[in-house]
Amino acid sequence: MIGSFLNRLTGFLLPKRKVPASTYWEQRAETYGNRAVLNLVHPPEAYDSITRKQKEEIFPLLAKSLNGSERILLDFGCGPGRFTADLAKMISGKAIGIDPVQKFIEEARTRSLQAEVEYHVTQETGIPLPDHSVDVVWVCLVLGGLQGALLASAVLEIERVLRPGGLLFLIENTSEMKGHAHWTFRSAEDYLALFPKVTLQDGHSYDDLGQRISIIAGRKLS
Amino acid sequence: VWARYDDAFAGLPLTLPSAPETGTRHARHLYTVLVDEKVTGISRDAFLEGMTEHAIGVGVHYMSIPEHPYYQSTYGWKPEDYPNAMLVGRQTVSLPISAKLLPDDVDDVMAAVTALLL
Repeated sequence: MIGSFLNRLTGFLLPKRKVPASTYWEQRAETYGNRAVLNLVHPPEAYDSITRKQKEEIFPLLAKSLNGSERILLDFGCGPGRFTADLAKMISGKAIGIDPVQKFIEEARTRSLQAEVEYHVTQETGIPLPDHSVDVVWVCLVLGGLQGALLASAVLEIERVLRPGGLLFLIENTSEMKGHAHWTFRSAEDYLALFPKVTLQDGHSYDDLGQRISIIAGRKLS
Repeated sequence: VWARYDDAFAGLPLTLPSAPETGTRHARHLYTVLVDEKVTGISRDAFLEGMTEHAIGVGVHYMSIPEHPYYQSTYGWKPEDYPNAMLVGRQTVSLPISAKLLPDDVDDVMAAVTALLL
């Protein structure tokens, strides 16, 4: 028994290459199910109440930011589709959810069968849509999980598919905290600077477990 | 499982579950440890992520009640007014415990906890 423990300890202590973000999130989804998309400090039974609270905080601001002309919305990093179907209703159009985690997309598809919603598994951050084909890009607590080249690629892809004058709607954790291998805390100013082609504004924030969640939105320059 | 965890973690800088009082019978429902960053060098939240990276599911049971916005906005409660509850809520981690855990699974948990704290 002690030999088994020591073997495992040795394995855990050996320097490991950082696993790709998509692998980490696949594994996290396998370990926690849908709860993997939440701050792990939330207990499993809080999944529905946290999602409800997020909708109460965020949806009124999204409604104010829409101008009524939007018909196609991209839910970037949709996870198990907590928001996608509601987002389609809010624009009276179509919502497209994309995520690199197969398990999340399968779950999302079981929850939503409406013609106005579709889901795709993506490779890392590539978006399977033409240039300027989307009226709204919704990104809820996703960019904090991306770093380096992946983050840069996500930004370029979002700017590519968003039509001129389209709305970028970001919700990100802007707490001043130390991150870890798979999560980076950035300030609202950092997010504003990430998207030079979008006139983002830091509009509203709310508290989640003592952490600041900011809603940052704006329209792409024409 | 409980006894193996107690033995394995005895030398680590964690606060382990209290022993049951005499005349009581412990439910062994949750095996919770306290991770104090000042002692361990790793924050509770980093510990949660570290365990997750080792594919070991962990939980928090629970944050203190005054940490929740509802109680702050409805009753004006502040976590700082309940320092012991706040401290436990911010340091507690529940490790896997179940009759279904195999001995190898328990080894994995023990090894991951030890590796994170060494």
